[in-house]
Amino acid sequence: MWTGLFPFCLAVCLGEETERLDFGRQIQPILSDKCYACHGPDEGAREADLRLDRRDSATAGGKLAAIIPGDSRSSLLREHIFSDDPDEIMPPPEAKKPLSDDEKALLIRWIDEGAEYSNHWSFEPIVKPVPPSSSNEQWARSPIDRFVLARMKKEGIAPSPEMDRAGLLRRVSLDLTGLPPTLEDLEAFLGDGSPDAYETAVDLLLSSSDHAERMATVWLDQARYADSNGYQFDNARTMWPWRDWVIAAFRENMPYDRFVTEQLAGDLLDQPTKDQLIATGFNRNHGYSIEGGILDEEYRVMYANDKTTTAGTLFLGLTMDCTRCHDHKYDPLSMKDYYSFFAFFNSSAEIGAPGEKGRKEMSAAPYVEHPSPAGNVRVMVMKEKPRETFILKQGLFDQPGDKVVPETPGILPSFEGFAPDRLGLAKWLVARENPLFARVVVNRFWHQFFGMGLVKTVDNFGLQGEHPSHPQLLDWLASDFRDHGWDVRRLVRQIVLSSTYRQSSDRRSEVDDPDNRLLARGPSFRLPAETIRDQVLAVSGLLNRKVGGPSVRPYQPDGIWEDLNAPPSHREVYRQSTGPDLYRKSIYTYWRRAAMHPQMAVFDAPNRDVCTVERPTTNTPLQALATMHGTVFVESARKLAERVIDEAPAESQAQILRAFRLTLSRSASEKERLLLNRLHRERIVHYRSDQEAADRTLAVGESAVENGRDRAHLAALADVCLTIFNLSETLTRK
Amino acid sequence: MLQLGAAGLGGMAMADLEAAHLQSDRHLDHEPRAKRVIYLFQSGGPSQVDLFDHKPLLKKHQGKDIFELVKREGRLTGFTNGHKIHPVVGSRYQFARHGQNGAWVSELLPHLAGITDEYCTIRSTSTRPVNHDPAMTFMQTGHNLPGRPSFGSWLSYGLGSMNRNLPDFVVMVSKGDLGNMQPLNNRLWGSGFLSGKHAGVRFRSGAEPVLYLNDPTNKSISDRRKILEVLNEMNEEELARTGDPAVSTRIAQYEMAFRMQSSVPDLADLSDEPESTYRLYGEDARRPGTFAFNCVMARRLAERDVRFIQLYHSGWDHHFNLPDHLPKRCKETDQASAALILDLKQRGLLEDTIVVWGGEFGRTTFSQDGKVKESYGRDHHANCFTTLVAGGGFKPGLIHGETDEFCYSVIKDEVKVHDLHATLMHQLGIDHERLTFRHQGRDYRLTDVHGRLVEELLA
Repeated sequence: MWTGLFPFCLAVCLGEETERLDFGRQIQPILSDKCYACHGPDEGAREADLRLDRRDSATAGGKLAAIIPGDSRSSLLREHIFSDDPDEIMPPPEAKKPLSDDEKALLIRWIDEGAEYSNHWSFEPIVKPVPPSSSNEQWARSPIDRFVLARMKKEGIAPSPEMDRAGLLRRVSLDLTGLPPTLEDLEAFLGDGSPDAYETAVDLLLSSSDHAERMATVWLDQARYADSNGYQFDNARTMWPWRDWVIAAFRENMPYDRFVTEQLAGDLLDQPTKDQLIATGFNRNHGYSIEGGILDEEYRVMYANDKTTTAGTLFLGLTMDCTRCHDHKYDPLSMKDYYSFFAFFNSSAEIGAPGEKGRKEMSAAPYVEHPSPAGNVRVMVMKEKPRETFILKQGLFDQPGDKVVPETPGILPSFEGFAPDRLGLAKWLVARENPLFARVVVNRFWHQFFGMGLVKTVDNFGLQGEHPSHPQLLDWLASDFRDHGWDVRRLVRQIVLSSTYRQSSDRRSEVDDPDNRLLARGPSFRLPAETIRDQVLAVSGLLNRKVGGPSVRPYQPDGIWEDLNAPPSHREVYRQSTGPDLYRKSIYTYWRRAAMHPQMAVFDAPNRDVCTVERPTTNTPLQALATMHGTVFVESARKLAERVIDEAPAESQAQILRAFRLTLSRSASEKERLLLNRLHRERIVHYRSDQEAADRTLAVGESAVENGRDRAHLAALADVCLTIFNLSETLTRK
Repeated sequence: MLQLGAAGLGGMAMADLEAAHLQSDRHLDHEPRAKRVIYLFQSGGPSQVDLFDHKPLLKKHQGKDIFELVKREGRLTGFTNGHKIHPVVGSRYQFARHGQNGAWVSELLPHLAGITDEYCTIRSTSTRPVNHDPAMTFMQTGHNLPGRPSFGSWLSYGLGSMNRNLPDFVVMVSKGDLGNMQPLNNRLWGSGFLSGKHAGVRFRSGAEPVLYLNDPTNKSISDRRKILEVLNEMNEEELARTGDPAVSTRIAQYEMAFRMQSSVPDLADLSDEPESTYRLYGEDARRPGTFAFNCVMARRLAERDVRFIQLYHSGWDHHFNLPDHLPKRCKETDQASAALILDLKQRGLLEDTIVVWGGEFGRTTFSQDGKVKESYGRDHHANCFTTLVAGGGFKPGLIHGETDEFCYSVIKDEVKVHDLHATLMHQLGIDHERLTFRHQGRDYRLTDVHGRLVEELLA
């Protein structure tokens, strides 16, 4: 039946494509997703003694081989994938992962082409590619652009025009500093006719502490930083000196290899400085439970698991956690690999939770004292304490199996010659030979600026991860980053100076690429939670740009912490900050995992229970409520109104235009001007007739309204400003 | 008038939004038997042996070490695993048989005892973790570690929304000092790796049921409408300029936020409830923040087609002096739980609404504090506990599963947490093995790699 069908299908599905199939890109994803669960690396789950992830095994068995290279008709695989018999067909119906006709046709064609295997791309060494030559030298100003343009050319499309200058400055300012440009910056940029005006502006942004704070904010999600312990009671902890270390590291443009080494293993460096010890707080950022009735050893193992998984995700892009209880289903990783990696993190001097009164002795947990405005605080750090590690059967803390020693996964370059501790691990990670580290790291930075990684699955470079959209660009960036001393600022500068980055983000009807994988336009996405708040504080003039120190508690609706429903003995009260501390940047907002600040949560900030490398960007009605009604937005709107009245006292139209330009870095269109002016007129009529309504509008927030102001005018203008704050464009970085 | 405005301006965008939300996410594997779930979560671990699982033999062995009577298996908590003796203690409460099905229920729950033929009593639920945080996380997300989406989020993701004015997944928590309370981490109704739009929205008791719902400047509805129209018009301009579909979604979401400012207060305003409501649910239902009030709210949410309604009542964690506390929790929840089932039934909503009553684990039949007389306390117990399920095609009056004479282990028809999840999902039209989400290269599901449809529970 199917034999007749097959040639037809091949012709239809594959058209005139004549290139040989690429195993890694076209075949392996099918095998991995549909077959490896039972015929892959996991020995415990393997069926029929057949593994399809290795050519020698897949082609073994002579005439009865699953795959006979060059001869699909004799290969048993063909028989099984086309079978009608529920006992024969593969994948079996109960797996609920049927092969599509296209996938079947690809497999058959691949066998007929010789069933060549190749290693998974991300495990292959990085070889620096030569950027393709370009027909459009003017556009392709950097190697990045040459790669991107070559791909576009292949698809027959041209790049988008450059973003208008003001829009570009807004984009790059929001990206690099989490703040919109000031009017002065904007005018200076627009007035600078020199060819390197944009570079000058970028360099200015890169050298600011705002930039360091923005870069740190992204890392805090990845490193799961919080001000509370998580788990049941989620009580307070003091880790902000570690957060300040991160900001300082970005401020001084610490090379990324050092950035990682100090955090992973600063305590094992020769005569570590206090800062290097604080850096190791990275390993202790995960949650700690103080629940009564838990077994210390069980939780100690859980904490080591968290450290292991986090390092696996951040530095290798591997889902190590999948191998905690069994060999990996898709990737060539065994339980032994997992527990050997786990062994690096199992040897640390900690038991249960820190900071709790009574139950556990605090002396066992290593600390560093750090000065703070309210006296010294103790920051958790790492300290090596050798301990034997065993494979834990099914991942259970009380089921030890074979003993293992600290080792890196067997599929990756050898660990020989490195010390069997966290410092050895760090050195191995950043070694030239490691194919994953540089790729994974540059992909995350790319993701930060394009809203999408070159490898879309930023957290997974394994077999189930996606293939890079621009493999050569990824490798070029990775090797260039590595070869230039892991210079983060240089990498970021390269990215934002590229023509690729500077393109307009407007959609093009002729390009069918909703995810913008081809990079034929500039990216646009909703601003992150922190920037949404910081932006309105900045334009209103309220923003307090103090850097570092203990976390602060801005406005928050009543009862959020009480809602946690802790018993009275563990109840903590949210004591709102006062004065300038209300207006600090959001990176300094107290981060309570179990009861997140609602404005942060509603705009997709993760609770940081676990390492998060990608925030979703949702679009919900609760966000609209937060930005229409949240105290900080209403108050900032009023302060912006006061500001523009002071700066453009002559007439209300100029005030409105100034507020618009301050927020969006562009002039309002004719229609926008008409709409906002009309709104202002209507509101002023309303407030003149209802003074109490004006009082209510002006009373929101702690900052005072000066005496002698025209309150109806101010309130009406505040409504206009709040409307501007809620424009889709304001909430978007485009 | 206002609605006309909404249709005129945001109408197209709303259609886009609904196309995105109501269709692309919709995942039905078969004809659903139920549309909604009301989950009455009793946090802390109610003592099954003092409420539903009658074990008269315990009295005979009062004070003896339970491990001389049953084989020790499963885990003990850090509270009692070092104890030398684990003395058996029987319930001090009277049990009687009720209803046509002759279900045993203790004197502490007279109202639930009165309707045993309406719900299915699963005496053989079991779980794995023995501590609160992992056990609650397991019960709500199918995994004991943080990071997975909660049940309600999976439904929102899989089935989409049934209404335009309210979230798909609403959470309410009983307020007040309920004794030994377990904190309720937001992650219990979080969306894990699913989009945040699927996270549960907590409705709070008091003047502002949804965070930021109230306009602090207290503008009138027509003033708010006027501002929204300006906003919409400017956003339409932006949409035309950029072609960015996120702009049209945002227009629709601002419209929905606007509607919520009317729909939510309407929902929370119980002044249209007749006196008969309070006779049914009890006088407590007049006080916002009580479990009874939240049960009335749950029915109102079900009437408005909210998909997943999650209530929490805390304070069931009775390690010590159980008789001082357990009766209070029962009194707070018994009448309203029964009332909710009856009320849904009389309104024809029980047909396609599933009501679940239960905690994260059960309690030991040995005493934690060594006391075995008037006062005693019980530790956490994962091997067996009781869960009630009503409506939505579950077999009313069924008594399912059995535990041994010491209520230590399930001896017949075990229903593991994933089995319960699989069965609930089945009734909602979902094959639990097929509703998946790819995260870090793996297809995740609520039931992890487990779960069995328990057909015996279904009518």
